[in-house]
Amino acid sequence: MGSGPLRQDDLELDGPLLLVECPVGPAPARTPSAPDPHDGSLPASSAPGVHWADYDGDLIALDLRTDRFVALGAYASAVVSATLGTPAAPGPRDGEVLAALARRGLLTGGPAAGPWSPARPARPGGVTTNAPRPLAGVARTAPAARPGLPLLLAARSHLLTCERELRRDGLSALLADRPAERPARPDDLPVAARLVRAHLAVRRLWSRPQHPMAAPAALARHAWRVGLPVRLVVGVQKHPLHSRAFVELRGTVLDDDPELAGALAPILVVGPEGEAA
Amino acid sequence: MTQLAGYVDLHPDQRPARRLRELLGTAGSVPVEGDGWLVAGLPPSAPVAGVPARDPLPGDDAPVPVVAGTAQRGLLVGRLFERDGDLSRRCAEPVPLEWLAGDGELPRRRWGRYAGAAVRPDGTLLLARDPIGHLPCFHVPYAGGLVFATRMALLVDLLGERPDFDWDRLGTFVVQGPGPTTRTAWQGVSQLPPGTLLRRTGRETSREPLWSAATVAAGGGADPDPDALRDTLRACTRAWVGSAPVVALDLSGGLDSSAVAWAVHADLRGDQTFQPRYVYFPAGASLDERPLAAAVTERLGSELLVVDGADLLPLTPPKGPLPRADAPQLQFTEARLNELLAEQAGPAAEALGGGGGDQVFVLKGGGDHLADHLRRRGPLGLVEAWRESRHGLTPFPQLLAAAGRELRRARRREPALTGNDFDFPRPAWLSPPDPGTPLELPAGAAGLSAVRAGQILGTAYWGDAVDREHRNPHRPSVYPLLSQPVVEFALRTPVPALVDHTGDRLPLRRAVRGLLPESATDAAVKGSYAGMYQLALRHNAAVARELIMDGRCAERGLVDPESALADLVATGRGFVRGPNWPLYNLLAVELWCRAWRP
Repeated sequence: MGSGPLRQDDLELDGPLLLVECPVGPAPARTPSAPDPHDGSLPASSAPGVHWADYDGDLIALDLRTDRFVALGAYASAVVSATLGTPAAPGPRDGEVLAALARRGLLTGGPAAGPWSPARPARPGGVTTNAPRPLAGVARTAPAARPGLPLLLAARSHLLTCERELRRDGLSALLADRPAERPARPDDLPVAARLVRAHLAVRRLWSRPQHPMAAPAALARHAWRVGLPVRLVVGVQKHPLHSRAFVELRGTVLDDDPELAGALAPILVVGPEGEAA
Repeated sequence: MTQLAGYVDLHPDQRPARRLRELLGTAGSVPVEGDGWLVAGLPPSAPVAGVPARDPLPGDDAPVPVVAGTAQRGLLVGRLFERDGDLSRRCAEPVPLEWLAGDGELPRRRWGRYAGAAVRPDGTLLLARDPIGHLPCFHVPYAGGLVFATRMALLVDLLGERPDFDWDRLGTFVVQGPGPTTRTAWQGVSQLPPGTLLRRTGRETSREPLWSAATVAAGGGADPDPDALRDTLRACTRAWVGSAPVVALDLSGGLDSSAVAWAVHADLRGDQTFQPRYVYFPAGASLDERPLAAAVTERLGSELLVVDGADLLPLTPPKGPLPRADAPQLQFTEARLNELLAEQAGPAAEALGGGGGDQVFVLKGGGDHLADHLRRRGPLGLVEAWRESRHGLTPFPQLLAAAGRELRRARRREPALTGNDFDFPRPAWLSPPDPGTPLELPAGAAGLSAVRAGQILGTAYWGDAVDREHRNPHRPSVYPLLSQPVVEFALRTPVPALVDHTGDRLPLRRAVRGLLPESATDAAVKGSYAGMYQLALRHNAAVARELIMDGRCAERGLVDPESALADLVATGRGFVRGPNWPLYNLLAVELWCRAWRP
C-alpha cells in the first residue's frame, strides 16, 4: 500500500520473530485442538486452517483454529515467503523463526496440500475509510425494492443462525455450510439487491450485539440458498490493519463499498468453488 | 507576537519585578504600572530566555490599553475585532476597565485572540482570557504576590528558575490530551481557563466566567440561516487574514478546511497570495485526500501546493531546536514538517487551518442527538431515529435505547459531563491507575443535553490544543471556525439542526453547498490519520524507542517502558483500529521534556 520500503530494523525491536495478534471477533466458545507438534524437522508448509495474505511484502495469517489474525514482522514474513513460496528462491532461512511459527500453530512439518499462494490485493493502497457502508453496495441500485415477508423471515433466520454459529465455532462455522446446492441462477443483481434490502431491514430492527462477520455470512448463506453464486470474502489490509467481510457476486460488492473488492487482500473466500486463499 | 507579563504585590527588588523591568528596556515595550504592580506588553524582540528573539513583523499586534477614565490600568494583548457592525474591523481603541467583569462586556463588544491584565483602583487584579482560549494566561504565586505571563518561557524567565514538572498532570495528559484545566505541566503554575476572569483581591483569588457558552446556547433556538453563517465565517476569516501578504492553509479537502478555503478566497485581495497546501504521506488510501483537496482548489481557481511528506513524518528530528512550548502538544511530533511549512510560507504569513469544525458544528456519535430530536418534536422524533437506522450501522432499538438513556439522565438531572468524557482508554503501561484527574468543565455545560455539553467541552479543548508556535513560529495559527462569532452561531443553533440522519455539521454544509465540490460538502466519511502515525512509528522506530526507554516518564515510574515498547511495536505493526493517541501523547510529552532540558 505504498508504505515505503520496510527495513529489517524498523520495528524488529524484540528480535527477528515478531507476531502481533488480533481476534477476528468474540472468542469462540469451542476451539479446535492444536495441530500435532511437528517432528523436529524444519516446518515447510502452512498448517491446516491457516490462510495467508501478502500486503506489500508483509504477511498476515488468519488462523481459523484460534480465530485470530496474526501479523508477521518484515523479517519473519521474508522467512516464511522464502520457505513456503519458492523454496529454491533466495531468501533468509531461519530455523528459529520457523520453529516458533510452528509452535504458534501457523506452520507444520507435514506435506503441503498444494502450492502456497498468499492472497494479494488487486489494487494496493487500502480502503479510503474504515467505516462500513452497507448502502453503498448493490442496494443503491434498487432503492425501491420491497422485500416480502418470507424473505424478511428467512433473512432473520440466517442472521440468528450465523450469529449463534460464529459465537460458538468462530469463522470455521462459515466453512461448514456449503453453497448453492440448487442450480445456480445467472448473475441476478436485482435478486441480490432485494436480498440485501431484506437483510438491511432485519438488521435495522435487531438489537443484539453482532459478531462482525455475522451479517455478511448470513447474506451469503441466504444467497446460496436461493441459488446465487456469491462469494463471502474476508479481506485484510495492513498499516493500519483493517479487516472487513463482504459478499460479492462476480466481482460486484453487494453489501459494502465497491472499493473493497480491489483494496483488500481476500485472505478467506468461501463460495461455490469452495474455500480459497 | 507581543506577550503580556506582569505582577502584583511584589517589591521592585524581587526577582520577577527586576527581570520584568530589564525586559522592558526592549524598544517597543509598553508598561502600565502602579504601586506594587506592573503590567507589560513585550515585543518579540524582548530577550526572553529560551525563546529566539526577533524583530517585529508587519501583522504583529500592539497591546490595547485598558483604561479607567483617562488612567491606564492595564493591557490586552492579542488581536481584537469589533462585535457590532463589521466583524472584520480591527479594534485598537482602549477598552474600559468595567468591561473586564464577570459575564462582562468585553466578549460582547470585542472578539478575537486576547489575554489581558488590569488592576482596579482598589488594587484588585483582573486577568482575562478570550472565550475560545486562543491565547493562554499563566500565573503563579510568588512571595505573597502573583506573577503572570502569556507564555510559559516568559514566566519561567521572570521566576528565574524552572518549576518542577507536574507528573500527575503529564500522566493525565497522556490519556486526555489537551483540555480545559487550570493545571499546567509545571508544579504550582496555573492557567486561566478559556473565557474566564481571575479576580485577586489581597490574597483572595477567585475565578468567574467572562463568557459562558451555556448562556449563549440558552439564548438560541431558531434554525440557522445559511446566508448568515456564510457572512459570519467570511467576515471572521477576513478579520484574521487582515493584510497578510501570504495566507497559508492546510487543506485536506474535507468540509472544515474547505469551508475556510472558500472564505479566504472570497475576500482575497490582489496583493495577497493564497497558498492552500496538502501534505501527502504515502500511507494508504484512507489518508490520501489529494483528489479532494485538488477538487476544492480547482473549484476556487487556486493552485494546490502538494508537499511530499515522505521525509517529514512525525518523529522525524527537526533541523532546528524544538520550541519551548507552553505544554506538551502533539504538534511536537510533527516538528520537521512544521519547520518546512513555516519556511515555505515565510514569516509574514498567516497560517490557517480548519480545526474546530468537528467540535463547533458537532460530529455524529451514538444516538444522543436523537434525544434532542425527541425533545423538540415529541413522538415525531421517532421518525428521525427510524431514518437514522436506515444506514444499516446502528439498529433502531439501539438508537432508541441511547436516546432513552439520555432522556432519563436529563430527567434525573444527572450531569451530562464528568470531566473524563473524552479520555482515551488508559494504557496498561501507564500508572497510576484510573481515574485520571478530571478536566474542569465549562460553567453550566454539564446541565445541558449530552450533545450540547459535548459541543461546549469539545470546543473548550481547543484552548489548549490550538497551535501557538508550531506551524508558524512567529504568531499563533488561525482557526476561523473557532472565531467567537462562528462558535456562538453554532451554540445558538438547535441540536436537531446540527445533526440528523442526513449527516453532521449541517449548518456548515448548507452554508457552503454549491460553492464547493460535493466531495467536500457532502462527504459522509472522514479520512483517518492512523496510517500516517503508524508509518511514522515504523520509519522512526529508533527515535520512538529511545524516547520511551530513555524518557523522563519511565525514569519517574510513570510509564512501564517494556509494556510501552510492546504497545509501540503493536501499533506500528498494525492491529490498531485508530490512532493510538496515548502512545503519541507519551512521545509528545517526552519531546516536550527534552525541549525544556536545561
